[in-house]
Amino acid sequence: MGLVTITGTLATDETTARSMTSSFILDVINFTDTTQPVGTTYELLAGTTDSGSQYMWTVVENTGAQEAVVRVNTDGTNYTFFPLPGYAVILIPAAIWTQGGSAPVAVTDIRARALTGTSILRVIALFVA
Amino acid sequence: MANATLTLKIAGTVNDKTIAYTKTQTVDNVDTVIHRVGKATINSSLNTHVAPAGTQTPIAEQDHDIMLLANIDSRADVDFAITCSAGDLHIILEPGAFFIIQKADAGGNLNLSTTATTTTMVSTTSFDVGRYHLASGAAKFQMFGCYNYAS
Repeated sequence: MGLVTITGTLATDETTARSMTSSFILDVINFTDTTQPVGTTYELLAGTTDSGSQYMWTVVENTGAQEAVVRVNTDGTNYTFFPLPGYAVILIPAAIWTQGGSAPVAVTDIRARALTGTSILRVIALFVA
Repeated sequence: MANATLTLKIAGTVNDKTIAYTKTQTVDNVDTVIHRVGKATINSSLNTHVAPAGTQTPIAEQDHDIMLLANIDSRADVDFAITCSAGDLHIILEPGAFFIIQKADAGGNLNLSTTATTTTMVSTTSFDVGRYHLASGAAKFQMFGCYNYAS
């Protein structure tokens, strides 16, 4: 186990520059850090099965120029999709909810595919208590 | 024309193994920036942040090139309800936690579907923000979005 700090900053270089920073700490019991290619069918990036945890925060980075789509699964019926342009990064919370829900549901697995060709994705899954 | 830069850092040690991750992403040609620091309503009611009719208040403009939503409160969870034509996505963030919205090359920021093979994205249409748990006292949040208004 151990503490992990996640910090995000979004800034502009306007004449009057603006920026926003936020930071939080997770109590992480285990993590994985992998890089893998994905083709044009959805492939598993990370999941809570066999992780020893029901919850994971996940970072997905597109290391190349080929755009990808990330699919988040909670209940096996309702999927949430996020675009991942070339060289972009997203941070997926441990739980979300969509239509018909009233409380957060744990993210069980995350999959992704390239829109065309192959995308190379780096995935850091932080399994939390 | 300005640029926007996102920096994501992860640092820590888990089971004697170090994580030291830094990623910087640059979004070119940003001409409009929205930046709002606010307090969400008490008792989990959601405040809608949409463009009033006939105005160009950009908080809910579609197709943000990149956006950061954060809970900057010290104790309350915040519910960010992101609405698009496919429905509502709720992100519950604990104090300090944040969420990143990207934009597809063809446009659109997310999608919700029961079809597992979906690849098309749709645009956001509004952002509702509220304190998640029933309790008195407002919860502070921050939203920072960048986009190219001309595109």
